[in-house]
Amino acid sequence: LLKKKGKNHFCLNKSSTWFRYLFKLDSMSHHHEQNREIDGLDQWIETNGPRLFLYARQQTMSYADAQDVYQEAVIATVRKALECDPPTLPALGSVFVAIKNKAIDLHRSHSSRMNRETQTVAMAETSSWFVEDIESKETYRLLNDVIRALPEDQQEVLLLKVWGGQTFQAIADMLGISANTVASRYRYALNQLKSTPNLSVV
Amino acid sequence: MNQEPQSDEAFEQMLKEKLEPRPPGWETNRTILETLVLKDPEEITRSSRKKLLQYGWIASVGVIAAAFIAAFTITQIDQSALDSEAATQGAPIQLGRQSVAAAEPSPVNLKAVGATQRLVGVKDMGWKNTEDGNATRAFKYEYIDTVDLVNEEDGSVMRVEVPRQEIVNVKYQLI
Repeated sequence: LLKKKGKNHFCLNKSSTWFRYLFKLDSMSHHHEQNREIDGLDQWIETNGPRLFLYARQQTMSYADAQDVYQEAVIATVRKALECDPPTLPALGSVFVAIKNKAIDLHRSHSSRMNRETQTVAMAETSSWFVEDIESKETYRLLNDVIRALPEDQQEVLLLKVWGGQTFQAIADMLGISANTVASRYRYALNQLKSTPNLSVV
Repeated sequence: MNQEPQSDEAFEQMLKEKLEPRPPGWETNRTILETLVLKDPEEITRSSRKKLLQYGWIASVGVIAAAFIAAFTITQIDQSALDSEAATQGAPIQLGRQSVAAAEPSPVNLKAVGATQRLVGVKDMGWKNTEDGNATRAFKYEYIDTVDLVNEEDGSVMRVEVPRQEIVNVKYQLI
């Protein structure tokens, strides 16, 4: 279903049934038209925004940075995807990659600009990545705490697999590591979560 | 979770159910949509700003003047009706004629004698990338435009305040 166009960038095959269902190809305006309509874009953002933003949160040090990274990555990848013939919306994988790259760029610029003290304050931000579940508050808190305490590489794989809906192979391609490594990081993270004390009695 | 060990799939499903990712702010999504729907945000902002500076004042003064002429006309119709009612003491036909006469174009001349713009707020709208690859930072400026209008007949001055917003994309470079 995907046609590769350059590094980390894919165009959806226009013959894909679900693609035709999601995006009305015939009514999609041309890229160069002013105030073009991008059919399905708002729905695409509504559906994928939370999972993309979650990954942006994991990749950055603060909520504000995550917003910037998420915004830039979505805009850049959607623009690139609109250059495909026919114009389309980006594959999720390419947006995850863009988020990671933007976060790395941001981190580099932060490192050169921010002093150690400011970085510590930014890293100390612990605002929640997930919507608080009022009905099972304790389970929510336990899971949230364990996920936040996982090593970053396991955390990343877990988020991409569970909430990002990506396969091991897709994650491996994104991160430039083997699928076996991805699977092992995922299993380790999952085992950590499963062995959370008190989780079974909540 | 329970006594029996849970499969990875079941546990993953439980995670999805228990933990729902927090969505990005609606303002962020709105900015994305606005940026993508516009051909070139910088170009459009620049041209809109130029046009606003060129014609905005003329247009706003014109609209305000028209609104005040309409308001004066209505006031005069009401006043004429009251005057004629008092003068004729119950002559409805006469009242009708005077009202129609008053509804004709009013000779009120409003002249703009002063205008100011006051910056009341600046908001950082975040990063935007233009299509030519330039990185920009968008700022939303909120102004209150004030126009003073003089009624040339009686010399009365009216002040009109109109809120206005402007989005400016500023190029930046990381050094």
